[in-house]
Amino acid sequence: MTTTPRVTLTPTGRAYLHIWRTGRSYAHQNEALYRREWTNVMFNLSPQPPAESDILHHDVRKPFPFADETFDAAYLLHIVEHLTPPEAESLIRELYRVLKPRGILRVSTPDLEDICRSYLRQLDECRASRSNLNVTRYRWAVLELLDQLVRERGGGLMAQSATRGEYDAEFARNRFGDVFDEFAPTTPSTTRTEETLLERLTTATVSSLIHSVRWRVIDAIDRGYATRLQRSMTEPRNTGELNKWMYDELSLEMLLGAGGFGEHRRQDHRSSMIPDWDRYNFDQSTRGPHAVEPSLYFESRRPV
Amino acid sequence: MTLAKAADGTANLHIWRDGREYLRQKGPIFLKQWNNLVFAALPGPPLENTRYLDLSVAPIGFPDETFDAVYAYHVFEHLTPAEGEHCAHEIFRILKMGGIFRISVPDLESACRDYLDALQAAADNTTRQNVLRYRWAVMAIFEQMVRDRTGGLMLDAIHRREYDDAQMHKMFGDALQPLLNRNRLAGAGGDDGLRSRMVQRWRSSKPFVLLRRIYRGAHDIVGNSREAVTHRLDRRETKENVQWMYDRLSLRLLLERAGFDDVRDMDHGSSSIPGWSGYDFDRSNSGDYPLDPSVYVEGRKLERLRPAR
Repeated sequence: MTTTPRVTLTPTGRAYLHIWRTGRSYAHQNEALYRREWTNVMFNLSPQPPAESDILHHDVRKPFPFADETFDAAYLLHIVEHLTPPEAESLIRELYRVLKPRGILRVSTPDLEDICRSYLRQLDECRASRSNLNVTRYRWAVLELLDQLVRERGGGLMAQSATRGEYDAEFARNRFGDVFDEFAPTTPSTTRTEETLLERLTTATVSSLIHSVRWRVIDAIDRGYATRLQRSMTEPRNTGELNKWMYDELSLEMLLGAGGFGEHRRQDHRSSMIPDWDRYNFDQSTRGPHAVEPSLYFESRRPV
Repeated sequence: MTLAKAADGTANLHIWRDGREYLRQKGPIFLKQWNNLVFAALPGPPLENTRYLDLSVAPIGFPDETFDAVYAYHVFEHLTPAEGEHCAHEIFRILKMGGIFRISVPDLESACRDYLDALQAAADNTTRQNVLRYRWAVMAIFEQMVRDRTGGLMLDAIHRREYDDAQMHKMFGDALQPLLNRNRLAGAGGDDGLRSRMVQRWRSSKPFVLLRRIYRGAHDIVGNSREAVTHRLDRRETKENVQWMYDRLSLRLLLERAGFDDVRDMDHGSSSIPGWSGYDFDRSNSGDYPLDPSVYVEGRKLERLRPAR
């Protein structure tokens, strides 16, 4: 059974769609406003998505449960790189469908061009002087280009190197912004605070109770099923963590152009054609003027 | 397995994975004079002096100090970095003192430089040719890492004839020639108007379609059983997928960590392996250019004990 989820409106009466995957640091920074004023879709392949009524967990390779011409703007935050090129093309066509005429599509994704330049820069510096610092930076520049395309475990070699302390904080912060905190071993966000029984009871809903009982029964019948499932669902290939393609300004423009969009414009982490963008400012860190996660930001408009 | 010896009495090991054109051009030499390890998930057709081995899980399995030279041709990019480290240490172990390890892989550095040039050209002047070149330059960096079926988007582009001959030659040397020649031959027939129309009509006729179906069915059952099996396996399992990319610097670091000294950059014609000019595995048989353009690095085993990591 599919029901059309509720479309949230902004205070100025616009319908904005926000599509993202994960990102603890991102979620923590911007939680309040976008949860209240945007319609949220999380690209999630997990069989047991958390029961949050205000976020639609959805496999974006399938059509959206929204009517034609519903939204004034849509933001695809680090989604396209997790799809194969044909999957990305059909997603863009689907967004064309749910956007109103003159609606704006904003896309952010790692910038292949910038990553290649960074890699070549670090390679040259390492050739000029093979200091430990330069080798570490060079290794991270290679990791930035390749690791998420091939990793077999969540976090991949990046998390592994970070845990071992094999990183240069300045370089990492420049390249990955606040997202590096997800890798860095000292990050407080990785230690999950245990909820007290009282908190759990007060926040429990009927569906979450049924959910939890069901899982206990399954686990009692087939010991280890949940563990196996958990393991298979944390493999990057199954969670959608793996990158399946990478884009630069030119290929994004070709992708959006092929989907029918026009009026292409490269943006930075603070600029946008979306009205009231300043109010949401998704891409700027709440800790300073820098980007939450340095990326390529690109916008196009659905023609009338 | 008794070791094959080269004409000069040395025992050499050649580790490779695939490459029909490479086998066609250089097979007559390396199958006769070198010992061959083919990196594969499943055993392939029997070849002279050849063992099939899944290097990502199985040990190389030769005694210490067996070989005078080891050449790993386009294998390390199909191993994860951890598997690559392990394999390099194993190669160090099975080499004799003074032995040479030669390694070739696709060059990440030139792939990135070529990509940036192609991007610039396509952004400045969006001709069909520039866009094709740009697309292939992007694919050269990572398409083999992400493909989910054999041949991936590269093969699709070849089938649709979306490529530029000069760029293909620069990027892949002779390696893709069998595929491209097939296109060229098919294209030659297309120029002849009447003939191609007749061929078209014959190909869409019922007898032809029926015959083709019978032929393909029989071919699948009899001839292509290995490929039919591997097609159903995960791309990562058949070892086609690229798992990592290297450049001159990361190859050098890899060899040094494995204990090698005297690490040197080479090219498609040069090597410190004695008698190399007689093997010449990396030069095309059709001219003085690389058969499969790569980065080539060599190291020498000078000390028995490998340094602590």
